[in-house]
Amino acid sequence: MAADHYGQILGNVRSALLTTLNPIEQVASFPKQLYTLINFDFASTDELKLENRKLKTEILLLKAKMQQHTNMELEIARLEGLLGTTGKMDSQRVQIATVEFFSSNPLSQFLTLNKGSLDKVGERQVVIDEQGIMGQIINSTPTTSRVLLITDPDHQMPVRIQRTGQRGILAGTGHDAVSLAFIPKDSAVEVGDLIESSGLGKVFPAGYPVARISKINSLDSEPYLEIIATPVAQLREAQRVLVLSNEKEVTKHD
Amino acid sequence: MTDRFVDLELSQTRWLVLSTYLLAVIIDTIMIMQQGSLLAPPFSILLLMYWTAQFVKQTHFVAAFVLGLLMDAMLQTTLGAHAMIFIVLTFVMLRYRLLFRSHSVIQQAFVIAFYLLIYQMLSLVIFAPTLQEGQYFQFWSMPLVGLLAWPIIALALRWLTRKLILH
Repeated sequence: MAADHYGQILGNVRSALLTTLNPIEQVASFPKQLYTLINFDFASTDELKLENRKLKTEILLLKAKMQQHTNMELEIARLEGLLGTTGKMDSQRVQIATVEFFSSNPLSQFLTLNKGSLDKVGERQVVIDEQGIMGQIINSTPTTSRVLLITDPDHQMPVRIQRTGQRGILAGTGHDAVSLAFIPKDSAVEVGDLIESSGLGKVFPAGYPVARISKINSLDSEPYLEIIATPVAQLREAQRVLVLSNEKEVTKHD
Repeated sequence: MTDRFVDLELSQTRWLVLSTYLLAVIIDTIMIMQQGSLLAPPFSILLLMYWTAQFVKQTHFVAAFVLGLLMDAMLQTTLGAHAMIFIVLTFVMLRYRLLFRSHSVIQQAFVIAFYLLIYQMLSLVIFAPTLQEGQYFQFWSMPLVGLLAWPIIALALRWLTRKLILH
């Protein structure tokens, strides 16, 4: 217990146990898969057509945004060239994975993905959905990997408030919320502010949205504000997620 | 001893014991996937208690340890924490299993509810689960659900053992 708790020495043992549990999880998720399959089969053609049209529109909008993004990258490179500094734009490789198993209980909050070490998915890789950061991979077996969600009570990550740039630590509460620590009382924080990853700690890349502030309490006895935020990622609903690779595609602009 | 348990050797029913353990782990996994898992007692514990009382020549510590480790892997808790709780409960059952076998199924259900209460108390101390307001009631009601489930499980396993092994 001590070896696992303090040193993560038993990581291989846990991976072996998770590999043993893989077929059991497959069997256990079969009723849910069957339900989804039946539901999908009964979805009307009109609904599918509508969804298809919606997706096409979204792709078009995203492509337009991507063009702007490329222009901005070039603009930054030009400005950095004028200032005489070396620009470095990191764009990360991603892998698409499907959520196989979701667990939210008072002890832990995690996801199981259908990509494992055979797909070069390993520990400390970040998982996001279309809205924001979901968590990080903590164990991987040859065919699956387990993601510790940002709402897990054992999870903490360095973040900053997008509007003010103020840094803090975001910790899971064990429910569908997170708490932001170390924000002094005199800060200009408001409900609705977006919290994004700060890039400190070198696990989570900087600039990804994480949560939105939903409640701010100021206690007389505490020097810091008590801030509760709601994750922007769809932790419960997400079916397809993106696993960010640790290897970065670095584009240098000298 | 009594007619409440079938007199058998473990070697005669090894495959049945293993398959029921496998089934219990699958049910526990389904319960973890469902959000209402707080009310459901761990089936692997119930099965472990039944087979510990059924086969008095074995200690069942290996089964308790392995099931506990699987539970730790399933719930993403510290490896060995559930294994320790399972072994503690198995030890308590080992001390009183001859007395337990002499009870009626209803009396056994109350004993099992007490064991599940110990399980919840140890879980609370070791894991400090983050319970919301409404979840405290569910958390402490789990032994009562175990009390209701035990007669069904015990009678079903006894019937299954008789049907598959003795006939």
